[in-house]
Amino acid sequence: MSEPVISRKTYVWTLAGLLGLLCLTVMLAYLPLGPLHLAAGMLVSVSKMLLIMVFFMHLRVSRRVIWLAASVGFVMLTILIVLSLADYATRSWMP
Amino acid sequence: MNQWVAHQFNSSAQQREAVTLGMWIFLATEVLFFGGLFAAYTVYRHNFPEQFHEASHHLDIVLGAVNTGVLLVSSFFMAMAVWSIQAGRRKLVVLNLVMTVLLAIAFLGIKGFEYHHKFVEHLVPGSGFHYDGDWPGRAEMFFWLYFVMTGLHAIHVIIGIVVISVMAGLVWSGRIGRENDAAVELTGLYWHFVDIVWVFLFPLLYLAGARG
Repeated sequence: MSEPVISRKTYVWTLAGLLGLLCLTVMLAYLPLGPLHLAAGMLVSVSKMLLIMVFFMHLRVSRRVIWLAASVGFVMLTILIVLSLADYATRSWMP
Repeated sequence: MNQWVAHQFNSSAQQREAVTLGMWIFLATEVLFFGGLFAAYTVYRHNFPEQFHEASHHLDIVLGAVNTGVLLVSSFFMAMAVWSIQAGRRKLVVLNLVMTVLLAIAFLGIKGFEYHHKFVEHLVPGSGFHYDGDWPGRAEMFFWLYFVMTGLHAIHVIIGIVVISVMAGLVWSGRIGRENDAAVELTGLYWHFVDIVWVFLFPLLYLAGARG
C-alpha cells in the first residue's frame, strides 16, 4: 500500500527540463567551443542524469543508504577512468 | 502483516527498503558493466582525438537527438506509471506502461534504421569496413565502440520492453496492484537507468565531432 511520493506536476517539469537540456546540448555542439566541447557536453549529461535520478528515480524522497548505493557505481567508474588515463595519458612522458 | 510481505521481513516498509536497495546495487553493477566500455572509449578518444572527431561526423545528429527525446519521454511515461500505481489508478498504469513500450519500440526502429545506413556505407567494423581518410583503423575503433556500446544499450532496451510488457499484463489482470506495487517501481528504476546510459552515449558518440 502506498501513496504517490512525487507529484505529477514535478514529473512534467522534470521532462520539460530534460528536453530543454537536450536542445541545449545539441546547440552547444554547433558553437565554436574548441576543447571545451567535451566538458560542456558532459556537464549537460550529468545535469540530465541528476534530474532523472532525483525526480524520476525518487532519490529526493529516498533514504541516505539509497543515495550511497546510487553513487557507489559512479565513484568506482571514476576511479577506473582516472587510473586508466593516469597510465595512457602519461606514456609519452617517458624519456 | 499481510500476504505480500515475505516471512523474513518484519513489515512491508522493511521489505520495500530491502528490495529498493537491492535494485540500486544491481544498477551500480550495471554502471560498471557499461563502465568498462566508457573507459575504453575514454582511452581511445584520448589516443586518437582527430579520428574520433572525424568518424563521429558519419553519425546523424538529428536521428540521435530524436532518439534521445524518445527515450526521455518514455522515461516520463514510466514515472507516470509508477505514480498511477501508487494512486491506485489501474487503467492509467497500463496506459502509461503501453506508451513506454511503444516509445521504446520506436527507439529501436530508429536505431535499426541507423544501423542499416552504417551497413550500406560500409562503416560496420570487420572485413567489409571501408573508410576514406587517414588512419581507417582508428576510425574503425570508433565504430567498434559505437556498435558495441549502442548494441549493449539496445539489448537493455529489448529486456526493458519485455519486462515492462509483462508488468502491464500483470497490472491489467489485477495480479499487481497498489498493495504490491514494488515490482512496477523497480522496473521503473531499471528503465530510467537505461535512459541515463543513452544520455551519456548521445554526446560521446554523436556530438564527439563538434560542428562548431
